[in-house]
Amino acid sequence: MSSDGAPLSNPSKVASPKNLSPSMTATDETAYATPSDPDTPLDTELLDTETLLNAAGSLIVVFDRQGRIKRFNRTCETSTGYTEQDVQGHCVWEFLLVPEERVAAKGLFQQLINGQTNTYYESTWLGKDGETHVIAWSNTVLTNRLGRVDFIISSGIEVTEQRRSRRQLEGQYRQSHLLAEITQKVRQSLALDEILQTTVSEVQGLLGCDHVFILKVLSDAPVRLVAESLTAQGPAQSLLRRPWPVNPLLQSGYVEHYRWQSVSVIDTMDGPGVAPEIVDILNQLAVKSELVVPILVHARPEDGINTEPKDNFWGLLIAHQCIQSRRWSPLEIDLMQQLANQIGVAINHAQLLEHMEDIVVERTAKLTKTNQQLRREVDERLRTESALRRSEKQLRLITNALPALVAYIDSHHRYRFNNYAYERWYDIPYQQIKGRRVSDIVSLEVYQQILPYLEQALAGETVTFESEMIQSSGERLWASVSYIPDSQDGRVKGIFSLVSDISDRKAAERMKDEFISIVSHELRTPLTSIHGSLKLLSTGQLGKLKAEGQELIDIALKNTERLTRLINDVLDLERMSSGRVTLTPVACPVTDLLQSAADAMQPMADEYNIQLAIRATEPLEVWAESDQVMQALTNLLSNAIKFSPQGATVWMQARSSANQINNKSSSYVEFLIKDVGRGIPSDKLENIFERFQQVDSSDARERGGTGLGLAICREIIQQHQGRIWVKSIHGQGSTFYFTLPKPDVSSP
Amino acid sequence: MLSKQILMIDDESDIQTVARIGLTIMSDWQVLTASSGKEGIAQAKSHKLDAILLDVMMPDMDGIATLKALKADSSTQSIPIIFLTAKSRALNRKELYALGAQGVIHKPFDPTTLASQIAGFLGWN
Repeated sequence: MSSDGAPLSNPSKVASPKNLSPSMTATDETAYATPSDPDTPLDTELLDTETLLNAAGSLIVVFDRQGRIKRFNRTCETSTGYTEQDVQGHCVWEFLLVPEERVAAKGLFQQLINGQTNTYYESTWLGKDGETHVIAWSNTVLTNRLGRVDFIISSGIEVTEQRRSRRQLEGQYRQSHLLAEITQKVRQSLALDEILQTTVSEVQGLLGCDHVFILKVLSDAPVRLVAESLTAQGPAQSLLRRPWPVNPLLQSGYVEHYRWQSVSVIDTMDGPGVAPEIVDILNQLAVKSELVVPILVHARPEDGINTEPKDNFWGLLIAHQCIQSRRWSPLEIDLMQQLANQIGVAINHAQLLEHMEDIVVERTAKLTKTNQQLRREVDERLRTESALRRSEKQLRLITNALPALVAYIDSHHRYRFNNYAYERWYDIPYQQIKGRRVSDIVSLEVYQQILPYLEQALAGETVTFESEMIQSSGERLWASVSYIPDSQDGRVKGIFSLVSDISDRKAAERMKDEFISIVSHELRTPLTSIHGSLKLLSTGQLGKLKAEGQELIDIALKNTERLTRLINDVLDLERMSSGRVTLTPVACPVTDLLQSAADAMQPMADEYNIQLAIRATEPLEVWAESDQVMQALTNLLSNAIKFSPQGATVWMQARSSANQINNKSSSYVEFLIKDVGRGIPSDKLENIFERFQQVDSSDARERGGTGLGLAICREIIQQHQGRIWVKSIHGQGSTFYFTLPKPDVSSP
Repeated sequence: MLSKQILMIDDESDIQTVARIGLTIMSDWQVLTASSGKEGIAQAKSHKLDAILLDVMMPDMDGIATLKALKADSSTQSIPIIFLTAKSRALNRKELYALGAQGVIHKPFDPTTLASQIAGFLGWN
C-alpha cells in the first residue's frame, strides 16, 4: 500500500528517479515507482523516503549501475559497523562481502543490471568487527525512460541466527543420523575394522576435522593405529607415514596421558589446563585443537566380575584440527563420546565373537575328540563283539565236538547254554534245551541225586562228584560232574557244568582192582610159602644147619621180607593215589597214636639199639583214621631208627598248631619225629617225598627200604588235609613234621 | 598155651603145610587142613574145633561164603574164625570183622608167630 493509499503495482520493476541524490533513499519502491506518471516530482517524496529508509527495520542499500553504494540505511550501519559515508561509492564485493562470495555477487549484480530477474538471494557480509552476517535480499531495479537500469534497491533481512540455528539443527540431524547409522552397524555388523573406519570417516566429515583416528592401546605391545581419516591435501599428516615409534602420538607418554580421563577437550594450545608435554607433541604436528575420548570396553565374562576400570580401557578416539584452532561444541563432544561408547560396544561384540569363536573352536575340538573317542569305542566294541561272536562260534564248535556235556545253568536251575552232547544223551534237539529247567531234562532220580551239589555250587563252592546217570535210552552210565560257580561282584550268577562219561574209566578201575587183587593174591601166595618155610628153617627147630647154610637162609628170608614190603608198599601207594580210598576219620587221642607206633617199632628199635622217646605235653586229638596215621608214623620211625647211630634216641612229639591250609584257618596238631642220624643233603630235601627217591641208592639194598615209605606218608597226610615236610642238616639229623586236623566241633 | 584143635582152610597146599608146621612147632596144637570151603565146612561139622583159619580167596566157595555158611549152621556158628588174606591191608579188614571174623592175618604171615597171633585174637594167652 502506497503512502497515498494507491495500490501497489509492478513491485519488482519501477521507473528510475530523475535525480537520485546521495541523501535520497529508496526504501519503498512503490513510492517512486510510478512509471505511468513520469512528471511526479521525486524530491518531496524522497524527503519522506529518507525518514522511511532509516526507520525501516530491514537493511536497505541503493546501488548505481556500477554497483557503487548510493544509500546505506541505518539498519545496515548498525549491522555492519560501517557508516553510510564509509561505504558510499564502494562496491560491496570490494570489502563488505566475505571473500568467497565476492565473485558470485559481482556476477549476480551484472545480471540485475542486464535486466535479468533475480529478486532473491542470500549473501554474507563481513562486519567491521569481523563478524559475519547472513542477509536475505530482495532487489528492485529502477529504470529510466529508456528502460535502462540506473539504480538497484536491495532490501535485506539479517538471517544469521536463523542460518546458524539451521546449520546447528542440520549438524545435530547429521550427528544423530551418523550415530544411528554407526549404532546400527555395530548391531548388524561384526566387522570391527569396517565399523572403526566408518566412524572416523564420518566423524571427520561431519565435524570438518583435519584428522580423526583411533588408537588401540595394548598393555604389552606398541600403540597401534587401527583407523584414521584425514582431509585430502589437508594439513594433517597420516600416522601411517610416521609409524611407531617415530610418531609421538603413538608413544605411551601421549596415550597414557589420556587413559584416566573421560574426555579431553583442547580448543587452543594456550588454553587453561593443557599439559605442556601434550602441547609439545601437538605443536610438532601443527595441531591447534584436539578432542580425545577414551574407548572403554565391558569386561568379558572370563575376566571375572571384579575387573578394575583400568582394565576396560581399550584405546582412544581422537580428532585434530590443524592450521587454526576451533572451539569444540558440546554437541561435538557429546557425539565423540557417544561414538566412543558405540566403538566400545562394537569391540566388545568383536571380543565376544572372538571369545565365542574360541569357545566354538574349543568345543569343536572337544566334540571332535569325543567323537573320535566314541568312534574308537564303537570300533573297539564292534571288534569286541565280532571277537565275541567268533569266540562264541569257536566255543560252540569246540563244545559241540566234545563228548562231555557242557552247560551254563543259571541260579533258577535253567540252562542258558548247552552243547550238542545233550542231544546225544537225552535225545532232545540241543537247541531246545536252552531256557528249560534241569529237572525237565534229567530224570527225577538223577535230579534228586544232583540237587544238593547244584545248590552247593550256587552257594559259591566248586563241586566235583561222581554219579550214576540215566540216558534217555534208559542206559545207565557213570558220570563225573563238575559244577563251577560263576561269581560276578560277589554274587553267584550261575554255574558252569561239565559232565563227563566215566563209565569206561569205572570199568577200567574195576578191572584194575580185580587185577591188583589177583596180583596181590598171586604174589603173596608163593611168598607166604617161601617166607614161612624160610622162617621155620631159620628157627633151627627143624634141624641145625651149617653156618653157611644158616647165613643163606637168613639172606633168603631178609630178601623175602623186602619183597613183601615192596609189594605191600606198591599196592598201598597205588590204592591211595587212585583216590579210591575213602577215609573214615574219627577222633583219635594223639598219645595213643604215638604210643602205638612206638610199641609197634620197639622190636626194630631194640634191634638197632635205639631209644624211642615220646614228648606229648598236652592231651590232644586228631580227626583221622588211626590205621593210616599209624602207617605214616611207623614209616617215619622206621627211617629214623634205620639212619640213627647206635645208642641214639629218636624223639616223637605232638603239639597244637594253627595252620592255613586251602584258605581255611583251622586248628591242627603238629607231629614231629626227630633223629640225630646222618641227615639229608639240601639238594635231596625237595624230592625226598617222591617215589623211589632215597638219599643213597644203596639204602634200599643195605637197609631194606623200598623207596616208597615217604611217598606213602605224604599220600596219607594229604588225604587227611594235612601237610608234611622235613628239616634236616646233613650230618646232624633230620626232623620230619606233619600236621593233622583237630576234630571239628561240628564233627559227629 | 593149652592144646587146641585148629582147622586151616586154604586151597594152597604149600601154605597149608607151612602153617601147619609152624603151628605144630611153635605150639602143641593139632592142626587139621582143608583145601576148599566145602571140605572145611564138612570137617568143621565132624570135628570139635577151637578155631578156623580161613583163606579169603578160594575157587568155587571163597572164604566169605564159607564163613557165612559156618555162621549159618548152628553146629559151627560158635567156632571162632580168623581170616588169612593176601588182599591189600585194610582193604577188607572192616568188612571181614563186620561179617563176624575174630581176627584178620595178612599173608605172607610169619609161621613162627602165627600161633601167638591167633592166641592173641582169641584171648588164649
